[in-house]
Amino acid sequence: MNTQEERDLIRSLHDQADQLQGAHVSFDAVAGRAQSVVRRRRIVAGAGVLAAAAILVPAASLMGGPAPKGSEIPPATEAPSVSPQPSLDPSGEIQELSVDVPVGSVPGLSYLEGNILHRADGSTLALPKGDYGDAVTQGDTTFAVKYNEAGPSLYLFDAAGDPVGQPYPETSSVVATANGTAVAWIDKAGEVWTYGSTGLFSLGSATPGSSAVAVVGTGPCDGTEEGSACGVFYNQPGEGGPMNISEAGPLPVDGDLIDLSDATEMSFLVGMTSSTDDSSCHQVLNDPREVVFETCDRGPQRFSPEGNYLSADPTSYGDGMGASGLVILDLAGEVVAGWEWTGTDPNEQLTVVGHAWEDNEHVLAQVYGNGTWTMLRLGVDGSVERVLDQIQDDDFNPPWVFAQQ
Amino acid sequence: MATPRTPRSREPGPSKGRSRPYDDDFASYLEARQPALLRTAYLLTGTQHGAEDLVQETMAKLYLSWDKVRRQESLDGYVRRVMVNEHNSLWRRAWKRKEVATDVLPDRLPAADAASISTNSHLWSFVQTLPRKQRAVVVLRYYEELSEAETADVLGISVGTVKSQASRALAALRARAPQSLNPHSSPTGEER
Repeated sequence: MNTQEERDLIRSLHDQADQLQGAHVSFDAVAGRAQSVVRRRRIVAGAGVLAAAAILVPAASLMGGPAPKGSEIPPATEAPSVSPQPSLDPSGEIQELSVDVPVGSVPGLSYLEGNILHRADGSTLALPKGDYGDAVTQGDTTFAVKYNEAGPSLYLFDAAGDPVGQPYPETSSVVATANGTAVAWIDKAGEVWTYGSTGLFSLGSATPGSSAVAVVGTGPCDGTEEGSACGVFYNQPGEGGPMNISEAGPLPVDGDLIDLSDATEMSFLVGMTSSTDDSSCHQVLNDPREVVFETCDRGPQRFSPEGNYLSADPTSYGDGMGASGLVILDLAGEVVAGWEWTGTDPNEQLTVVGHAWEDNEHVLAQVYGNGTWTMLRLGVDGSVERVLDQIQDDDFNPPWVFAQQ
Repeated sequence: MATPRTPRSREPGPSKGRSRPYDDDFASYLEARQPALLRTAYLLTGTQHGAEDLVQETMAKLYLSWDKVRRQESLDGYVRRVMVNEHNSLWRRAWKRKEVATDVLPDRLPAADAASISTNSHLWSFVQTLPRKQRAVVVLRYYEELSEAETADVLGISVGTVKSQASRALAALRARAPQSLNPHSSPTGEER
């Protein structure tokens, strides 16, 4: 028996649908569209064949080299002890994505489940109840984006889980340096904030509506001599393109990126250069902003902590409710390891909805299928483990929020 | 390497004419079902153009697998599932192009095209502000009038999720459209 509310809704939907007139889809239009779908699938499926089309540069240029004048971030005060060379030979093997895998150890990355922060050391912290969407932990301070009817706001919480100060409204992303020395975000007015060991610091102003993508630097990012080698990469709203802001002010990111996905301490960048209904193209750039590789077959997303691997969507064409799997690329764009659901029964479909690097050789991925969520650990060596029990969730959203630390 | 998902035998023939086996069969299905599919797609997308695009993409994928699925007993359910999944996929791609906002409720209601003007447009406007996936539950439950189990099957989710999403949608609509849905409200929204 429907309630009055439901009857009102049913009547409204039927009235609305009945207004649709003149719409028509012809057989020829469908057949033509089908050919387009086949072309897309050929592009996706032929990634291995087309890999030769990826632009590869000599290994020497992968090492970065001195930043030229005008480079958008100042040199780091301390060279990170990283090697952009992959530690394993890429196998190129993509396995069938499955959640029926051995159980591994608990996540080595902090995460939120509901309002409970689970730290990597096994301790927990209860935050105020809410719908959280992004988080960073730095010492005893937790930065978390909480959604309500008005949109996302960034909250700072102390060691007891109590809010500190006023939230930053309309702030949907918070990022941290690789070694956790500084946290950064952009507020509603466009002010770029950093938070390190010396406290809060304003790095300057960005276009309102900009969203922080990455903060690079090895110090507290507080304007002092030690903390000056710091830059925040961000995407501007609309057609503005990615930017970098340091104490020298905001500068456009050189190159053809229209949307930045991530940046490393070595100032390697990954982002999208184009997007159509059929696919999208991405580039990885080094510090002089030379193209390290580009691909229209994969969808590279996030660098590993040491910057020598990239997590990526298996295809550049999204199909379904999430990515069909996840692949790990090296800095030549070659597949090191990968997992993809290749079934045909939509009832059995598995999708990867969110992932984060646990350490330099493992990715934690949230996988959805058959009404359950599972967290998997995917290794650059091709290993796969289930790290959190499958849970039935009553929501479409992933049950866990990874917290950078 | 990834295995190609589409065997050659499923590739379509020329776009003009009906050269494949079962093309007439598919064309008949298309003609018979597209009015209903277009209406559902319209409720999902909110525009006539979006509905035509969604149905075209959905039917293209059905066409590619027609020889395999045409004898399915629950073909309509299969098509609905493809359409809802494709709708989310189209949204993801559009989101990357920044043409569509996030699931966050907008301050202003979206502009309607000519076909969206109706006597119930007020309530319809609120439906358009629902998060995309919640809206899919609403359309399947309250327009297609599928059962909770059928809706769960189409969306590939649990019955519990359907219940909670429908409940949330009604609560959101109640909160945002008090004149239409709150039986205790006057037309001005004041409590009686």
